[in-house]
Amino acid sequence: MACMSGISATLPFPLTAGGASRAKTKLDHRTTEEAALVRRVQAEDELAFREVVERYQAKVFSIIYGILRNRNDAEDIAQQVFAKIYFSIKNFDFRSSLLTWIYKITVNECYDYLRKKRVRKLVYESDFSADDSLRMENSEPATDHAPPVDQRLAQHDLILKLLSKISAEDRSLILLKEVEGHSVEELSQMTGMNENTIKVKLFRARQKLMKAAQRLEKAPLTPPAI
Amino acid sequence: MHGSVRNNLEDLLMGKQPASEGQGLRRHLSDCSECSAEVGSMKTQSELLKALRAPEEMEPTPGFYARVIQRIEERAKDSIWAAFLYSQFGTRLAYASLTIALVLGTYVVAQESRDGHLGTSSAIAQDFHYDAPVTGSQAQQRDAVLANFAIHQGSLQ
Repeated sequence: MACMSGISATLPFPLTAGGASRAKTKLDHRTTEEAALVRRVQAEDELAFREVVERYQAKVFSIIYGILRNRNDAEDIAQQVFAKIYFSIKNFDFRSSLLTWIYKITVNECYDYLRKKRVRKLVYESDFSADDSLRMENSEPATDHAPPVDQRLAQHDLILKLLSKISAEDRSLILLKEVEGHSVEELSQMTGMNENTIKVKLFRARQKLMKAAQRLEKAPLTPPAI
Repeated sequence: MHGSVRNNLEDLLMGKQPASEGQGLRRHLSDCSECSAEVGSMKTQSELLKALRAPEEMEPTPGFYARVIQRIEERAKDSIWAAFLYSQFGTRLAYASLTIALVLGTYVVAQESRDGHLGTSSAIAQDFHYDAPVTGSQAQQRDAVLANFAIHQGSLQ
């Protein structure tokens, strides 16, 4: 691509007109109500940890289910995520929001699970989960508006495969943007990075995904029939 | 991708009117096929990523917190062993130990066979001998004792 020179791809984004004046007040994650809760957990207050679990369990469960599409796996990994949070919350440094930190742990756990599953699958496992079968059985015939279930599953697998080719940080960022629907401004507040950095990181992550898709010659990015 | 497009990419992907350079940007996208193709691919990619959204906010089954605590307790119990068994450090330690054992084993076997301590059964059999009978005259008995002593000393060295 002529427009996509290597130099332009590595250059930082130019600041938008009035970008400096639009700079938002940076949210200090040390002074929020959430930070007080984290400090209580760090001080081994079990009630505070229970509050963290109750506050984020639905979110964590939904993230995992969105990626794995299997309720049992989601339950198991969600437990693992909170166990990990329990053991590593002492290392939480308040540079990002607690949700962003939990999100990263959750996505990483999902990818650890997928990696281990891929190894096991080579030996004996089927690629098709129980939930997949159920969805296949209950699916409506393909209409003009929605792609058939098997195509959706293939797209789902493809995007998971592509996401495995980028770093954990890029993966979390792009999922927070595309799956959770956060704006660049929100991401900046959540992660503690400035908007320009977020834009650069997102752009590079998108480019890496496109290159990964190009490498998977047999699975080109086809527009989903929406 | 040109800077103006790249800078407004997130707005373009969300279908929002770019905050700046709106008119010029639209013109650029209609003129520059490369930029327009790349934005198109990224839009497709963005749609695909949305497939990872959970259909709705989901709750784990009741008793989730108790199961989390149970898992924490299990992990706390085996955390010392887990540090060796499941960590990268543990794996490396296991490989290093195996390598050292293999090298030492090879060295010991090589050393022993060079010194002839690991002979074959026939060689070992040859080492068996009977003492010369200490009979006859006093001089003959003395010679037999000395000969036996010399054989024993030789086999000990």
